[in-house]
Amino acid sequence: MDLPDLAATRALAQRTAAVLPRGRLLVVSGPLGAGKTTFVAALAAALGSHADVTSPTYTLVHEYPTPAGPLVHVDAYRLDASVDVAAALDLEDYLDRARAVVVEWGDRLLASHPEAWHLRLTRDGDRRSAHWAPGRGPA
Amino acid sequence: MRILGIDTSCDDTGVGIVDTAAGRGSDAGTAAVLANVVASQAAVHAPYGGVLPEQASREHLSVIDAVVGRALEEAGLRARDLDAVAATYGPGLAGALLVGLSYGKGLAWGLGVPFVKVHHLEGHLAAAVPAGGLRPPYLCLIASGGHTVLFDVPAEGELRQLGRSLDDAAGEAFDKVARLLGLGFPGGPALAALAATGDADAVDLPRPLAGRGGYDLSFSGLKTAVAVRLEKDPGLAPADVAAAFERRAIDHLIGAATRAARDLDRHDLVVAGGVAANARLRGELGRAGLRVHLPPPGLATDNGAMIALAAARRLASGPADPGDLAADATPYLPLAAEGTRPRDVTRREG
Repeated sequence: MDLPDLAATRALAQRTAAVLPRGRLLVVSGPLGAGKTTFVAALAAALGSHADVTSPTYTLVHEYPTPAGPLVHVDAYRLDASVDVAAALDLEDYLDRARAVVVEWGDRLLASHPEAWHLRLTRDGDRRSAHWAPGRGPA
Repeated sequence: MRILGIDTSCDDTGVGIVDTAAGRGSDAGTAAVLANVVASQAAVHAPYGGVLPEQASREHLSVIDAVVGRALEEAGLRARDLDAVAATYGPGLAGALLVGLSYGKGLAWGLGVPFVKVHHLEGHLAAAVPAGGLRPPYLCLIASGGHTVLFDVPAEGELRQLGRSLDDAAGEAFDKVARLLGLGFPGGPALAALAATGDADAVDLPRPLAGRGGYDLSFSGLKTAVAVRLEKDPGLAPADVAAAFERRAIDHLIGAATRAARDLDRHDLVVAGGVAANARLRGELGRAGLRVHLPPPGLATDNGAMIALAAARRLASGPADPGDLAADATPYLPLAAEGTRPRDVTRREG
C-alpha cells in the first residue's frame, strides 16, 4: 500500500482498527522517518481515543484511553538488542488488559510471539508505503 | 512548612524536602530546598542503554526507603518533622509511578499529615520559577527528551496548555539526528557542539509546521528531512547539517513561545527540561525580548524537590484536598487545555 499522505495513513489505520483483535500485539517496523508514530496516532484515533499521541522513545510506554481499554504504545529504541523486551516490559500484563499493544522498534518480539501482527513501513526518499508481513496481519 | 516530595515517573528515584518557612512567609516561590536526592538507575540499566519499565519499578521499590532516609538526613530532619508529603501521580510508567505514589500516601497517612498529588510537569514548572517569586501571568516551555509542551500560567495554580509537540519531543529529535550524523545516542549536546562549528545556510531544511500558526510543535518531519538529505547527499558536512537542524529546531521552539507572548501579552518565559541548556536557545530567547527564567542546575532534570515545591505552591493557596489520598497512578495525564488545574481534569475523568 502506498501512503502518499496523512489521509492514506488514516485509512490504513481505520481498516486495521476494524479487525485488530482485542489484546493483540502489533509490531510496527521501519527506519527513522518511516511514519511509525504517525501510524500509531492514526490507530489511536481510529480506536476512539482522543489522546495526544507522541513518541515514547524516552518515556518508553504510553497508554491512551479508548472505549475498549487502553491502547499501549511502546518504543524499544533505547533498549539494547540483547534485552528480552517481553520480560523487561512485562508485556503479558499489558496484553491482558489492553485493547492492543503497539511496539515500535520491537522486531525482536516476533519470534516469541507468533500471533503478533507485523506492519512494515518503508520510506524511499519522501515516498512511504506499508505492507503486512505474510501471515501477520488481517486475513 | 516542611514538605517531602517524591518523583518516580521514569527511571530515577527522586526525593526532596523543602521548607517554606525558610523563605518569606507562606510564599512557596521562596521555599528553600533542604534536600534533593536522586538515585539514578542509569548504572543499573547501563547494559541495556536505557530504563526497563518492570525493572524500574522493582528498583524504585528497593531503593525508595533508603533515598527518603538520605533526604531526611541531608535536611537534618526526622520523618515526624514533616508537615506534608507529595508525590508525582502522572504522567509516567504505571509501575514506577505506583511505587512512589503509594509510598508517599502511606508516609502521609502514617504521619497524619496532608498528602498532595502532583503532575510531573507542574513539578518542572515549580522548579524553574525562581526564588523571589515570579508572579503570573507568564509562559512556560518544557522541552526535554520525553516532553515538549508550551503552556500559559494566567494565575497562580492555573496551567493552560497552549501547544505541544505533535510527534517527537525536541530533545528526542536532537538525539536522533545526532545518531543520523554518527554522534551516538543520546547525542543532543554533541550535536549542539558540532552545530556551533557549522554553516546553517549551507543546508536547506524545511521549517516545521510552516504557515500553520498556533502554538503546536513538530520535530519528526525535520528529523526525516535530515535523513532524506543525508541519503541524497552523503557528502554533506555533518557540522553544516547539525547547524541547519539546530537553527530550524530552536527557531521553531522560539517562534511558538514568542507568538504566544505577543498574542497573550506575556513578558516572562520559564524554560525547563534538558533543552533549556542549549546555548542557541538561550541566546535567541534573550534577543526576542522576553525575560527568561531557568531552573537551577540541580533542579533541571527529574527530581523530588520539584514535586515538593509544586506542593508548596498548592498549599500556599489553600488546604490539601483529602481526595488526593485516593489518587491513582495515571500514566496518561495531559495538562488541561482550558484554564483549569490539572487536578480538575482527573476529577472529571474519575
